Amino acid sequence: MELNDYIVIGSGCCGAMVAKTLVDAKQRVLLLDAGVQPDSTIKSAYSNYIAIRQNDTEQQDFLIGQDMQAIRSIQSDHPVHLTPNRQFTIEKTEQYLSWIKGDFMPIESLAKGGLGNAWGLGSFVYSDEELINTGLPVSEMKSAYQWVNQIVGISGGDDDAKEYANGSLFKPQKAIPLDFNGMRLHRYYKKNKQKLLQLGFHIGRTPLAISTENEQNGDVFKGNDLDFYDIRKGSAFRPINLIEQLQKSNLLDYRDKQFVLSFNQQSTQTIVEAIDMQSHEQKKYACKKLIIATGALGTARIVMRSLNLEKLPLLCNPYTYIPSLQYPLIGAANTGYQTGLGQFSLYYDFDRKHKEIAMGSTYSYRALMGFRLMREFPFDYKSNIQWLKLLQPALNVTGLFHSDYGSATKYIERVFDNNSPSLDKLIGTYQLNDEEHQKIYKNEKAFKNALRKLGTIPLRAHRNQHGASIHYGGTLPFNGQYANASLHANGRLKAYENIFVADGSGFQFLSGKGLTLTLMAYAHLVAKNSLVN
Amino acid sequence: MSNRTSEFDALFFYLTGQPPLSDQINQYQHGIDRLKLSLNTKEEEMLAWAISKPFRIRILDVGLNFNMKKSNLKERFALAAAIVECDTRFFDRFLNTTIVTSRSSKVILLGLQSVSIFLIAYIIFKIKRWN
Repeated sequence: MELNDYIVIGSGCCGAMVAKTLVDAKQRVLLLDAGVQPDSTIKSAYSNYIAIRQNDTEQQDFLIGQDMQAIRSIQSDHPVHLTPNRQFTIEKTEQYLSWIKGDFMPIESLAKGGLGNAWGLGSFVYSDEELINTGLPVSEMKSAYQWVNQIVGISGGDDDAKEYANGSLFKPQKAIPLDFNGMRLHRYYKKNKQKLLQLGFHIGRTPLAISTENEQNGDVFKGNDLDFYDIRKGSAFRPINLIEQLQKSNLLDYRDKQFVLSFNQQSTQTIVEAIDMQSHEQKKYACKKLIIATGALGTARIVMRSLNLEKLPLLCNPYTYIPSLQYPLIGAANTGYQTGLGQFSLYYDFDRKHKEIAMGSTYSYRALMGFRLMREFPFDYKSNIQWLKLLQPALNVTGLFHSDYGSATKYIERVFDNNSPSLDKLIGTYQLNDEEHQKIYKNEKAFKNALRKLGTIPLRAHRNQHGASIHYGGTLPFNGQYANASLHANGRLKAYENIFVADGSGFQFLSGKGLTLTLMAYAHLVAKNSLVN
Repeated sequence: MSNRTSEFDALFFYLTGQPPLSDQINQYQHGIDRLKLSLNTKEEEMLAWAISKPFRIRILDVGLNFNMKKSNLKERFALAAAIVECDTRFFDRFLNTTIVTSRSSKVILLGLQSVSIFLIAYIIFKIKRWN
């Protein structure tokens, strides 16, 4: 068996940053990945939304898919908004990453590029207080954020909320243009800024992993509202492209169709066991150092199997979405520039201590297909089509994330299952206590109030099932009681010399701010630490 | 089992006032198979009652919302609506290309119309018994 210097598991946002850091340091890396790939025969976005809708007689291939993929995904118990060319993001997860139905149902990925293929691109820097709460080293993380900003093109605003968005750590590229919906919100914000500040709201342009001034992410944003939906082209950062760029160097050996089961550290080496997803044979790989970067839940599976654990703690941001209407925009024309990307972020920091923030990002409703939305209306489709036409230009959606601390009623358990290739599956328990329910209710009320001040009419707040936020962490917390199931702040598994975890598994707190940028920065930091440890 | 071609003809006509194209009928059939949207006896009976008249289809459409929103029959309506939405001939029905004037009166009229149909469907679904 060949002894590799490094084995990295996973190719999502974290795995890509680990691989980049190690390759930059001239290390030879074997990257093991399930690596489900996009189907190249599926039509990709090639024009703007209105042009496709108006002129393309084969648009159903892109919007619904020849196998009705888009419809099938919203029929499921856990609907994911994916166009057919992005369905590979969640392919094979039911078979390999199965869950017993419970009150926590997450979304995971076995794709090359992982959940990064469907990432909403929000790129937020944690404040010093949030980093301390999370258990992360402040000064090292600040350098790591700056490093990520050199790899990932990030746009945003130099505005009132920049302290909340990027902590003034770097100058973002100019923000994407506002559409007519965003412009009206901005007018109301300027008018009611003082009132909003008094309520505890700081509002600014959403920082996005979209390059607007250079080709850092592949292309420059040119106002194409489908860039978000295109994995291969466009201005959005997708880890799959970084991995493929690294594959061109002879330092990264990318091995796909490898579903990693467990690890076993021996005296001078670590053995990684995997199933070959094509031949179904068991494979073994040896390395001096192992970095696991499969996301908190994927890592939890591997660690639980390796250490024969049955239960681990869990963190997940509770998620609420609030649709709201801008009445004067009812019946507006759709033909101009309009974007479904986040335009404004609202940071609710009631005590102004940057410590525990609830964050909402507002989007114009620019879903690819109206029938998804029409399903939610109480009337008949014939009426719903007319409602949709009238209301769609006026509709904003604010996705609101609430911060999360661990508790005894939030955990995952591993149970045996003969039908699973890994012979196990997970069940999640996620129950909020009264205080947490109160906090969420208070946040929702405050956000509705703020949305009114922004000139909109907020509709009902919808709370999604726990797990829908796709923000997971805390399975191997830095402050965990058991050495086997916790991490040092440098990412090393406490009981092992050469096994590192480079995702959110160690986080002991999840801020309401999106965590992907923090995960990428932390993954870089762990890879760097592994070089010196 | 209902005749699916007639069923899609009826649904398409109900949504658009026009007949479907043959490739759209095939797409609908393919969608039903791929999404496994088979109907149970009650749904078959409901569809048979509604299929001959567009207004009955509308009543059935809204009536299914009361306690059968996740039924395969309602999913067939969603499938038909998705196919219609992807038809460039009906682009204008889904998205405004010009500003709608007198939006308040449009909202009120559409509200009255939707609620009226909702109430009629509610009464019919209370009275009518399905097997």
